[in-house]
Order: sequence, then C-alpha cells, then structure tokens
Amino acid sequence: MTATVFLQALISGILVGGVYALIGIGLTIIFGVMRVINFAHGEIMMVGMYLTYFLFTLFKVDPFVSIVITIPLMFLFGALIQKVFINRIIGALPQNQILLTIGLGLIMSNAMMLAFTSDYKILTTSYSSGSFKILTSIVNPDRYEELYNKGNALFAKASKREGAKAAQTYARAAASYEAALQVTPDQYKGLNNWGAALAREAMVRHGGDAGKQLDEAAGKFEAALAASPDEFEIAYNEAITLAARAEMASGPAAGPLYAKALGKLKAALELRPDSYDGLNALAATRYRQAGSKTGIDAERFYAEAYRQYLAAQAVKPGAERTDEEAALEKPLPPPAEIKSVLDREYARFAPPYRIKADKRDAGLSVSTPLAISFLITVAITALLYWFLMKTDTGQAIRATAQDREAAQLMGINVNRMSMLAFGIGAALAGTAGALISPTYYIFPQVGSAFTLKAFVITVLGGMGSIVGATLGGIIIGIVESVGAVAISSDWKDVIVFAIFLLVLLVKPSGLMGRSRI
Amino acid sequence: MRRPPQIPGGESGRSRVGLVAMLLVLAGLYAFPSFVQSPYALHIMILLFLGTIMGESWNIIGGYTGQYSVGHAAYFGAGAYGTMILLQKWEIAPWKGVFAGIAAALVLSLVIGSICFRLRGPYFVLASIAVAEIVRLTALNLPNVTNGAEGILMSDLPPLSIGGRVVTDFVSKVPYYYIGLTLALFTILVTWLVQHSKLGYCFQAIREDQDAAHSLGINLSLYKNCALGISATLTSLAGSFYAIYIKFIDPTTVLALDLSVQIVLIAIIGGIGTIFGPVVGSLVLVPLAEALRSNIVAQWLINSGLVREDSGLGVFLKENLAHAHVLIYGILVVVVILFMPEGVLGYVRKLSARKKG
Repeated sequence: MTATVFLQALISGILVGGVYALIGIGLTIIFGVMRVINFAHGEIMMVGMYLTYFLFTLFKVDPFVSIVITIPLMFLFGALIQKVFINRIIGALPQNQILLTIGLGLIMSNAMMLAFTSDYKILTTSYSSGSFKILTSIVNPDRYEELYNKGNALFAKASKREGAKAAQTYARAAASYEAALQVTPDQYKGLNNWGAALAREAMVRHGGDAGKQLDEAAGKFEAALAASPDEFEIAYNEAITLAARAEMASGPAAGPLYAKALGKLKAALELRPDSYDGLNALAATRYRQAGSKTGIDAERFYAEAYRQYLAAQAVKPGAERTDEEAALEKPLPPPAEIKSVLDREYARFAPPYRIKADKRDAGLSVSTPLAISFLITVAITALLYWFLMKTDTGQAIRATAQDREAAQLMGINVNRMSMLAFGIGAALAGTAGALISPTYYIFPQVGSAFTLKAFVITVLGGMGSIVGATLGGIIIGIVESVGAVAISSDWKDVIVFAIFLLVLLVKPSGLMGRSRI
Repeated sequence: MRRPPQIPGGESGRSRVGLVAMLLVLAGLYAFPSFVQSPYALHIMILLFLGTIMGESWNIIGGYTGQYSVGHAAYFGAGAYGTMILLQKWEIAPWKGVFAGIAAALVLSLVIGSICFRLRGPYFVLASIAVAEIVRLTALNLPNVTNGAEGILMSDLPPLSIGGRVVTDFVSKVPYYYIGLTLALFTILVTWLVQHSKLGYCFQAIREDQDAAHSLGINLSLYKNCALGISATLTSLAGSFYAIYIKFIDPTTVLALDLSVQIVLIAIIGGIGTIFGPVVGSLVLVPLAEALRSNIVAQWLINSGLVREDSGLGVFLKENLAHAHVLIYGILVVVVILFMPEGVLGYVRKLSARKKG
C-alpha cells in the first residue's frame, strides 16, 4: 500500500466517519440521559433515509436541503417513541430495555418492508458520483511520480510565462524531470518531458549555448524513443527540436538538420497521419527551410510548405473537414500569395511540445456528496455542542444525564428531558440517514448494520460521551476505509468488531472514559 | 424474574396430576405420526420442536444464569456447518457429524465466554453480538471451507442403519419428527436437571446477584462458562438438526443476527428461567409465523367478511401478510416486555395467583 492509497483511504474514512459520528452521538445522548441502549437506532436512521428518498422523488427536495424537514420530523418521531414505549421501561432490567428496542426496530424495518417492499432504492442526485481533487501538488503516488508530476506542473506554469521567467521555470521543470529519472531511469515519459523542458528553455533563452541544449534535448527524445519506439509525440518532439536547432544553426550546417527534422516528422506522421500538430509542424519546418534557400529552390519549398499547410488545415481540430484531395488538386495560388499566407501562419510559429500527462491522477479524490455531508455533520455537531453547553435546556439535559434523581430534586422535568434526548437522538440518526442516502442503498434492513456500527462507535468513545462518539465515529470510518484497502473489504467489518471487542476488554469505559455528555 | 419460593413436597397432590398429564402428552406426542400423516402438520410439529430446543438451550445461559447472549446464532451455525461440512466433504454421517458440531460450538463457547464474561449487562449483550457477527463474516469470507454466501446444499443423506439393519432412510418427515421430539425432550430434561441441581442453583445465584454469588465463593467465570457450554452444546444440536432437516444452510439463515434475536424471543415470550417457558414461546411463535407465511390469516380475514377480497386492503393483505411474521414478532416482543415482562407463562401464573388470592 503506497502512501497515496493510504491517504486516499484516510480521507474517505474521515468523511464517512463524520456521518458515523452523528449516528454515534445520537445513541450516546440517549444512553447518557436514559441509560437505555437503543437497539432500534439504525432502524430510526433507515426511516430517515426513506423520508429523504421520498422527499427527493416526490417533491424534488435535495437530500442535503431535506434535512431541514427531516430533523424536526425525526425529532417528533423519536419523542413519540420515547413517550409511548421507552418511558415505560426506564429503570427496568437492561435486557428488557434491549429487547423492547430490538422489538421496535423489527417493527420499523418490517413495516417499511410491507409498505415499500424490500427492493433496494437508489437516490441519484446530479452529484451522487461526483468527486474533486485536493492536494494535487503535494500528494503524489511515489517519489518518481511526485517529481514527474511536479515537473509537469512547472512546465504548465512556464508555458504561461514569458521571457526570463519562463526560461527559469522551464529550467526548474527540467531539473525536476532529471531528479525523477534519477529515481527511476528509462522512463520514456519522463525523458520526453525532460527533453521538452530543455528545448523550450533553450528556445526562450535563445543564444549562448542554446544550440547545444537543443542537441541535448534531442538526445533525451532519442533515448525516450529507444524505450518506446512507437510514440508519435516523442518523434514529433524530437523533430521540432531538430527544426529549431536547424533554424538556430543557419548557414550550410542548417541543411542536413532540416532534412533530419523533416525525416523525423514524416516518420512521426506515419504513426499518426492525420495529426494536425504533426502536419502543421511539417509545414512550418518546410517554410523555415525555404527561408534558408533562395531562388527556385525557395519557391519549390514554399509551394510544398503551402500544400502541407492546406493538409494541416484540413485536419485542424474543430475545422470543417474539407475534401483533402480536392483542396490539394486545386491549382496553387501565385508564389507571392503563398509566401504571405505562410508568413502570416508560420513566421512567428513554434510548434507546441507534446507533454506526457501526469503519471497517475495526482492528489486525493474526494467524493462531493461525502464532502458536503461532512461539512453539514461538523455544523450540526457544533450546534449541538453549543446547545448542550450554553442553553438552559441543554444544561438540564446534561444534569439529567449526570444524575437523574438529583436533577429531579433540582426541579428539572426529567421526563421531558428524556423525551428531548430521545428526540435529539432520533433527529441525529435521521440526519445521518439523509446525509448518506445519496451514496448508499436504501432498503428496510439497512438499519441493523448501522445499529451495530453505532454501538461500536459509542463504546469505543465511551458510552455517554459526545466527544467520544465523535472521535469514535471518525476512527471507525478510518478503520473501515483503511482496513478495506490494507487487508480486504470483505474483512473490514471483522476488523471493526475485533477492535470493538478489544476496547470492551481493555478499556470498557472507552476512549473518553466515563465522562457523561 | 424472581419466582416465589417453592416449598418442596407441599403440592405433591397437584404435581402428581401434573405428572400424569405430562405422561399423557408425551404418549400423545409419540403416537402423533400414527394418527396424522399430513406432512404439513408434521412439518409444523418439527418446527415447534426446533423452536423448543433453541429456546430451552438459550434459557440455560439467558434465563437461569442471567447472561443475555444475543449471539446464539454462532453456536447454531457451528452445529449446522460442522455437520454439513463433514457430510459434504468427507461423507461422514450426520449422527457422527453432530459431535463435530458440538465440539466446534464448545470451542467457540470457550473463546466467546473468555472474552465476553468479563463484561456485564449491556456490554455483555453487545460483545455477544459482535462475536457472533465475526463468526458470520468469517463463514461468509472463507468460501473454501463454508462455500461462502452460496451456502451448502446437502446432496443426499445416507440411511441410518444400526447393526446392518436399516432403521430409516429419511424419505418421509416421520424420522425427523421423532428425532426432533427426542431432542426437544432431551433439552427439557437437561433444563430440568440444571434447575434441580447444585449447578443450577449456582447459575441462579449468579443471575440474581453476581457480586453476592461471588462473595459466597461461587466461581463466576467457571459457572458462567459451564452454563454457556451446556447452552452452546444444545444450540449446536438444534443447528445440526436444522441442517439435516432443511438440507440447505448459508450464513444468512444459520448465522444471522435475526436468528440470535429469534432464539431469545422464544424464551422471552414464553417466560425466561422456567422449564416450559420456551415450549410456550415456541407454541406462540412458530404457528403464528407459519400461519402468516402460508397466508392463513389473510384468507381467514377475507373469509370472515372483515375484509373484502377485491378491496385494496384485501389484495394488500394477501400479497404482503406472508412477509409480516417478523413484524408480528416485533409487536409481540414490545407487548410482552411492556405488559408481561415475565413472559406468557409468568403472566398466566400471575393471573391465576391473582384469581386465587
């Protein structure tokens, strides 16, 4: 497992963990206030999922917007359950409480099955499978790829700059490729891009040992071609480098260089005959070559360059395809006109280098729906924390959790607080259901898996501790996600349960100890 | 759960009547297949026995020792898979394979016990669920051993022969009936023995107050493991019997959390910590589930004129009531916990006591 895979798993784990945390916080508040373990918690979440699903399909309410409706409805649902059922068994034997909530869960899931069948429902929003990239310049698959991708980033930056700055950036890109190739030699993509960076720098700098550097660049392309002979891009890059070299040489030395460049270009075009860049570079090179000649030779070369220009225009991306043959058979315009067209087109033209793309997708992929739901989770958790810490009602709930009898003696209506707590717990579970509905299947039995997960989370964090449940949720999210890539996704739940048992045995009070809400 | 203390010998007259009644019922049960040949009736009876075995065996750890295991599917599955794998892979006859199932369940119970018995109350419940889930997921992810999610289908069952004489070839349901009945009686007997032995008293002492029991010198871990071992053995018998009778097992039927919950329900609904509670629970749950599954209830509602067959509700009931038995389970549990927390048997006792007093 490379560092990137790990980081990728880590980030999706944290995002999913946020939703898990909501489920866990709901369970832990209910436990804190009533000392009742709610085995119907996942089923309450499932009800929230269905609510979201129908709000979306029937009323076109976006799942993330629908929490505005889901939260109050689920709160009422929870308060009702508490009033009618749970309230009667506060203080009863724990096993009876457990069985009652198991029974309630069975009723919910099977009533849903009767009402909506056990078919899997999928809520598809426009962003359900969307994702975006973060940390693209920092996180890269490995050292070679990191340097390589860094080179690419610099190259892209350089091509937007001008003058000395561009030359400097090209030089840095070249240095980056060079470093990458020291890590792993003989990478044709790296060699190709290195060559391109060297060549571009030389062209921008123009002068001094630029010619020598172009030769060096051509050498890189040669080496790249040796590693991967059938690459159009590399052959093309080498050809335009040679052409640039020829132009720089001037005089008699230019002739063979032009010939070599043209030969390379033609070879490249064999690999991809309808490449606009290839044909265009061919025309441009011919045009330059013609510039170095005089008399009838020049006229002949201009005419040839013009024909290649027409061929390039015919395959120009986005251009209307004209009948190539017809265009070529048309009589050529007078030499002066040819010259002016070519001057306009190619006098200041430098064929663009073909850079090989990033080795792997750099950066970490983040699922859009999960990212949104994570943000909502953070907001809700913060709001809840504020409510419990700062408001009178919140403090009353905490007091009830700390000591039910003492709270009652202090004039707190503990029954009302219990109802509130169960309502909040149900609202949180319902919200979690709403938040995962764009990325999860919706079916009546979905709850039990989440009930188990909620236990693991709350026990891990410490029963009754909100901070603990938040931490627990994120830890379980990470364990699942990293476990799935490190070991296998078949065994990820086993890992989660094993950790759960371990916590139960080693530190049953959980991470946050015995703190109550 | 606390029952009034029984005064030994105080009700000898009544218990003699009870004994005669029990013997009559027993004779009736053994004679049943001679009078009723309907395979469906036999099937229901076999399911009743199976429910009784499961409920009784859970009762020993849950009812008598007070350790609410919600992971008994693990032992059931151990029995079912132990028997089935031996039969399918090495052609070992089920009546030998049963012991492999028992051994597997016992080993499992020791492992589970050593992990879970350090925990109390709700933590124990959660741990028992977690372990059972690990067992299920392991079975699901080891296709070489368990055939994974596909499950194992029994190809054929060798006839049972003793001393070269074929006793039965397992073509009809009758042999299963007798095996089920015998196993059910055996588990009831074991429960009776447990209840009336020193072992059982220790179990009940642990149930009533662990710390007090501990201070009286009862080795908690030993007795809890003992109770779980007995319970696991009997549950694995139920699993083996299920596998042989149904002839197909997969992780979602013999290892699922639903099954664990059902096992608990049988005991809870009947009345835990009593010998006949699970029998009553089984008598309530099994026919109910079967009636719903075979649409008897929907048909009855329609026939009685309460619901018109061609009305929307009638069509809905006919189509869906078959899937509703788990819903009814849920409603039953809620009603039982809220209104008769000592189970049907406890409720009836309370009613009769009230009538007398």
